Amino acid sequence: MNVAAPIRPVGSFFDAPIGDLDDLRSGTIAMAGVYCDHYSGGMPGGRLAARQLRYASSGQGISLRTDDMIDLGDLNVFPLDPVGNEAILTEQCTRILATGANFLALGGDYSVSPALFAGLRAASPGKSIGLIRISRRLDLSDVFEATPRRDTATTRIAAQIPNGLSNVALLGAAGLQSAEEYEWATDALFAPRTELHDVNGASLSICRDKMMDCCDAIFLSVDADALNTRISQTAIQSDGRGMSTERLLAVLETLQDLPVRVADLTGHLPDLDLPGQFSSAAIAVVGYALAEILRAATR
Amino acid sequence: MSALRTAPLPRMAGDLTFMRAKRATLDDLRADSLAVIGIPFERDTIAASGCRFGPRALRETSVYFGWHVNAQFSHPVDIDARKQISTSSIHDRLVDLGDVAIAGHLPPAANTMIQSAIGEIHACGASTIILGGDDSIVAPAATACEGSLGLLQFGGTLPSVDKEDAPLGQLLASKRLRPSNAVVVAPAQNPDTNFADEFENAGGRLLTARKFRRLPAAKLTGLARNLGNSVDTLLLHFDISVFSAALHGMTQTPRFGGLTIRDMQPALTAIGQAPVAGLIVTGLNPTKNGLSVVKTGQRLIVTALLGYIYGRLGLLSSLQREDI
Amino acid sequence: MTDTPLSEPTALLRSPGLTLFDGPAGDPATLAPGSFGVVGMPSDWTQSSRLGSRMGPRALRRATSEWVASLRIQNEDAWVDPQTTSAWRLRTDDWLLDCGDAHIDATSVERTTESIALMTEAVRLRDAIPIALGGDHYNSYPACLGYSRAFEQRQPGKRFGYIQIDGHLDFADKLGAWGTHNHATNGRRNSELPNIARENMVWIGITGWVDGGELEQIEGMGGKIFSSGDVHRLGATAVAEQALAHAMRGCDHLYLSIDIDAMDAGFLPGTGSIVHSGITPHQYCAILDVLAAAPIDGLDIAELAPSLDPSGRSERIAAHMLLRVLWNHILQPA
Repeated sequence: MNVAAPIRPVGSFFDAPIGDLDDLRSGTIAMAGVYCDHYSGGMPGGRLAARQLRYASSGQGISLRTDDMIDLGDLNVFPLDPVGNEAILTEQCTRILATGANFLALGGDYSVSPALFAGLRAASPGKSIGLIRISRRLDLSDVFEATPRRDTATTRIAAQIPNGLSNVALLGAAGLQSAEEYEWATDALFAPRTELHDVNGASLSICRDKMMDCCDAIFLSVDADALNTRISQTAIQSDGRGMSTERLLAVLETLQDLPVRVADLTGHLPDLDLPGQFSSAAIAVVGYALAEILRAATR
Repeated sequence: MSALRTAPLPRMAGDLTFMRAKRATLDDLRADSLAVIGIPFERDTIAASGCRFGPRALRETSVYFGWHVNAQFSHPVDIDARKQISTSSIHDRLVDLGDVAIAGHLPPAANTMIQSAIGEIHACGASTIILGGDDSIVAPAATACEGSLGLLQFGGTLPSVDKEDAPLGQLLASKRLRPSNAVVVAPAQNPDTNFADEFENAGGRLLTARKFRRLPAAKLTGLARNLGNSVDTLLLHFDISVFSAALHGMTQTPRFGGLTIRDMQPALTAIGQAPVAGLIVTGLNPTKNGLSVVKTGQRLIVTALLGYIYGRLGLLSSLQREDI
Repeated sequence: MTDTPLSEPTALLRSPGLTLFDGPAGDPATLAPGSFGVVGMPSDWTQSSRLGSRMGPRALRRATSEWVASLRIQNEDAWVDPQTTSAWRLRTDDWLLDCGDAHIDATSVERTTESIALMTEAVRLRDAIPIALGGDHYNSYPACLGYSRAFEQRQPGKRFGYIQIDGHLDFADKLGAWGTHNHATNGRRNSELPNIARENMVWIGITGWVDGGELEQIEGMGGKIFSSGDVHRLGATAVAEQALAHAMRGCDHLYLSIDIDAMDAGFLPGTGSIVHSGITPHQYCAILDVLAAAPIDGLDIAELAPSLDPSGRSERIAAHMLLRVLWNHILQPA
């Protein structure tokens, strides 16, 4: 029998090639998993999102373009050492971006995003950087600013931007928010979930246009908690309402032309049942939409 | 190579290859490689759906034992036998090829794919650990091997005289396997009397769990070695049903009075020292109702496989034991 | 850590199943001398493998209360064990007080450690015996730390013995990315306490492959390891007796740490790091029966992860482990 052995390697994100820093170059979309949820302020589980996303996005017989993508494996993290954790995440993000690649971080929770944002800042000297965050929550607390908790993450990112919250767009907020955080959010570009129902509406286009005008390099952070709980379990209790996957994809479609260099997908607590892949499959689709935004940004 | 990671990863993070083995392709294989390959296939997707998730479940569990890539756990010792393993060579020789891309294929095509993949691996001279899948993968995998065949079967089903549905029956009926080159240990059901008589009269050996427990390890190694030396290819079929179902419950063929891990791990260590060309794991259904989160079946199998891998790679050495 | 609340209020609510053995709830300051003080440690943030033991304290409270209710529902006041023909009554005095849960801070192992240690120290300083409910097994260290601090105040210059029933040594100095304080290092951290008798430390139930360096260190300091194979070979009672004799050399006090994962996962799958030890419930109980007669004045039980065993039997078996250790306290001869 002379049939070539039909062997498929152990799964990677979207069946993309496996590689390391040497395989990255300008135009590559570098992907890595984030195994850290210790500072989510809620239930653990986001640490396993990368694993489940690899399962859900590989071996499905779906042909996605992956020739410009590299799965770097998971990032080094120190789950019980907040300072060391932030330092090593920043260092890795900086080294990835220094190759000229754009970077997609998958899994974990939003508490690690400030460290990755610091990597973008370090890799973008002299550039105007900004954040687009799509989430049910604002995470603008400054009560525990000294801690790595997720609810201070937007505050800690804004503190790294010379223009502060004016280079930040907060999209998709819903449910009860702290009055103080809500007041601070008015300094940012802001579109609550109700205003995302119409992707051609004014709020979203104003946010997009202003970010295009004021930012040379953008960090796009999407939290699975923006989706309804039929799709994804969340670390912090929610009322179960949220966007459909289709709505979120439509919102992401509007961000295609922005100079996004880093994207992350946080807050997904996967169903660990082996066949229970529905939620991770849906989140993987969102992850690939982020990869396409990064791809468009390199053109 | 410029490496992204400069520190160890958390134990459950990272690349989910078997025991954190290196990824490899057929081109990377050497004669002394121990190549892991998954066959996520099941024949009966109605009554016994779930075995196709076996390779994934086994890899996921095996990550716990990826000691050779953990600098802080560099020389594991068997607490009872006081046997130490040198982990340094594991990383060179144990490799993970991935899975046969079999999803969606029906048996005739699936069998061809299995034969093609296993045949190419064995053509490289490497020995294999095949992660199933249900037992329908055994016959095509065995058919792919060159020359005369020997089979050591642990657990699993037995044929009746007029039925060939069990893998052993298929191999005997096709003359691919001679009864005198087959040993069956602790099958999952009592043998059909006619089959047992015919099989044993033709030189086959049937060992009940009780008989098997009385075999000393040296005799077991000798039995496997003699069988291995008298055939061109010796295969080991390890079905989860060899274990007492009370230990895991994660099989479609539950049985009572089977073996325990205390029987199986030393047995596989002993057999691993014989020239075994391939070990085929079958029967794990990690999605069996209510047991998806329990994971005892995959842990049992991987714990037993550790003994086989250490034995196969010749890694065991003795330490002195303090008397108590 | 003066601003850390001593306990979380959840268990102070009086409702069946919310306290251990359905006992009374209250502040450690109200503990009666000689009684047991329950401290919940609902944290699995220091567990490196499968999650779920943060629900352990709640499950232990539920399952032990279920057992008490199963006796009370019979409306009898005495029960007989047909195997021994001995007759027993439930104690009605306040032999136990559930002090609630320690405050757990996922962002700081140090704060969690101090919070638990404060509670077990407070319990012991009332001349009561802490029963600390995990949580992953790391939490044994803060529980024992608090016990050790109180021990130093109550018996300055003295040392205590230590027995750990466990499928694993937990004696690593560091576990890779998890650092020095996690569920693989609690035995090591306990061994560094100033008043523990290191040479008396005993492990029972160790299974499979262990790190050779840890093995050397334990045996080098005089510690003793009884594997699950030893339990099968020598018998559970003999192992427990030898373990106790080793642990109590020159000591009058014993700290006992129970990791439920020493039991074979076929019986008890609801735990994070399962082993196939072959140790049966019968053997585990036989070990605990021997230890129940020892001068235990500090105790933890860890690694029950109820969500990993939908059948519910793991939490019931774990509840019975506590019952065996506390048999002569929860029951009295009729």
